[in-house]
Amino acid sequence: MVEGVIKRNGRYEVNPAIMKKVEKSIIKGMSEEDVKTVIVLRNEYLRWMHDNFAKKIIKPPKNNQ
Amino acid sequence: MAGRLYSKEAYDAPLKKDEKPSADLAMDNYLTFACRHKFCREICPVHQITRNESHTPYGFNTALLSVNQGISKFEELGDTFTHCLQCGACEIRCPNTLFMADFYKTALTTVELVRKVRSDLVREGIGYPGSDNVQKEIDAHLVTIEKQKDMLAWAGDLGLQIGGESSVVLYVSRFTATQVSETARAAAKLLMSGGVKFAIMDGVSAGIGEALDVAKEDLFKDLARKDIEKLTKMKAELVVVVDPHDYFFFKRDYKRILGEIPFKVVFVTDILWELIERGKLKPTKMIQKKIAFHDPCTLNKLTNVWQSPRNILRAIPGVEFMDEDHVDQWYYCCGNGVSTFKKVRPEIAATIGERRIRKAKDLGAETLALACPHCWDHFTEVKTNTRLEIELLNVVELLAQSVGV
Repeated sequence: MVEGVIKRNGRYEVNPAIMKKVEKSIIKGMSEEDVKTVIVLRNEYLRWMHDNFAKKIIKPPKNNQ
Repeated sequence: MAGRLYSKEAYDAPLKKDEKPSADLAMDNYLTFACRHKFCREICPVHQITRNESHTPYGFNTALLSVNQGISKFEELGDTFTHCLQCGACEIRCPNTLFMADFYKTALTTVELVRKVRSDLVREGIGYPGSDNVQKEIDAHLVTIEKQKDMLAWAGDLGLQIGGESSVVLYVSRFTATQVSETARAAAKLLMSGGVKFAIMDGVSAGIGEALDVAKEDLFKDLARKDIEKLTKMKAELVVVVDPHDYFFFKRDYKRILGEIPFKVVFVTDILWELIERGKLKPTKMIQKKIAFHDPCTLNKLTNVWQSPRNILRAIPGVEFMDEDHVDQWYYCCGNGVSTFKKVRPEIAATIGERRIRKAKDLGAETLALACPHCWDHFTEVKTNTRLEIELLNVVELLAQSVGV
C-alpha cells in the first residue's frame, strides 16, 4: 500500500493522522485560533464527505460505456 | 500578529496605477492560478449564478497575476473584484487551506484579498461599480451612531442597565438596533428570564465592515477601538453579540488588527443554548411549524458556529425541524454578503436570495429560521419582490415565543 494511505470501510483513503501536522510556513500570519478552526473544519468536511459519498460507488451512465 | 490589516505580508503594499504588483503578491497569486482543483468554483454562491470563472478566487488571483505579467491593467480589476460575497466558502473548501502542507504551501484568504483590491482601487481614485453606494452606507452609519436616542430606542421599556459597570454586556450595533430591533429585544428578554445580570452600552460605534472595502481602514479601527475601550471601562468579562457580522469582526479582524481583546466574546445563540442546558431557560410553549434553518456565512463559514441555533430549534416543542447539514450550507448564502456585495451587485444578490428561499420551500418548510439581521433584511426584500411565501424569523425570537417572554 502507498505510504500514508489506509483502508477504511473497505476503501482506501489518506491516513488522517498525517494531516495533523501543520506547516509553519503556511500558517504565518494566521492566529492559533484560526489554525484550530481550519483543523475543525477539515474534520467536519471529511465527515461530510464520508456521510455523502463514501458508502456508495456511482457508476457512469450506460450510454457512456 | 497584532497590528496586521491582512494576514499575509504579500498583501501589505498597496496596488498602484502603472506599477507592477510585488513579486511576493504575484507568487501568492500564482499558487492559486497554478492550482487546478478549482473546488472554490462550485462552492461559490456567485459562480453558481454567473457561471463565470472570473468570479472565483481562481479568477481573482489570475487577474492579479495578469497585471503583474503586463497582460492587463490594475484599473480593469473593479468588475471582477465586485463579484464576491466575502462569505468565506472558498477559503474553507480549498484543499490548500483545509489540508495545510499537502498542496501548494499556502492558504486561500479571499476575503482579505477582495477587501485589499477594492480598497486599493478606491485609494487610487479609480473606484469600482457601486463604490458610491458603499460610501453612502458608511455615511449613514456615522450619522446614526451619533443619535443615542435612536440607537437605544430598541431597549425602550425593558428597564435595562445602560452603561456603568457590568461583567456581562449585550452588544447591539447599529443595524440590529435600528433595523431589526425585535431580535435585540428578544435577546435581552431571554437573558433576563435566564437570570443573567447584564448591561447594554450607552452607544455602540462599530459594525461597519464596508469601511474595509473603500480604503477606510482607519475608520474601521477607530470605531472598533472605541467600543473595545468602552467595554473595558465597563469592566466587561463577557460580551454577548447579537449580529454575527460583529461576532466575525471581534473573533477575526479586531484580534488581528488591534491585538488580544480583554474580554470573552460569545454569540447570542451559544449563551442561550447554555442557559437551556442549565435549566435556566425553559422553552415550553408549543410552536407547531415546519422550520428550516439558514446558516449565516459569518457564523457557519467564517467562525464555525452552527450547533447552538440547531440545538435551540430542536429544544422547542412542536417544531418540525428540517435540518440541512451545515457543510451543505457552505454552498449557500442569503445573497447580502458580508459587507458590500448587495450594494454593488444587487441583481445577483437577489437571485442568490431567491434560490436559497426556494431550497427551503422545496423541503416543505413554512418558516426559514435565521440567526442574522442582515439575512433577515435581504430575504425580506427578496420575498417581497418575488412574492415567495415563507415566514422569516430569527431563532432568538422563536425561542422567546416558546419561553413566553
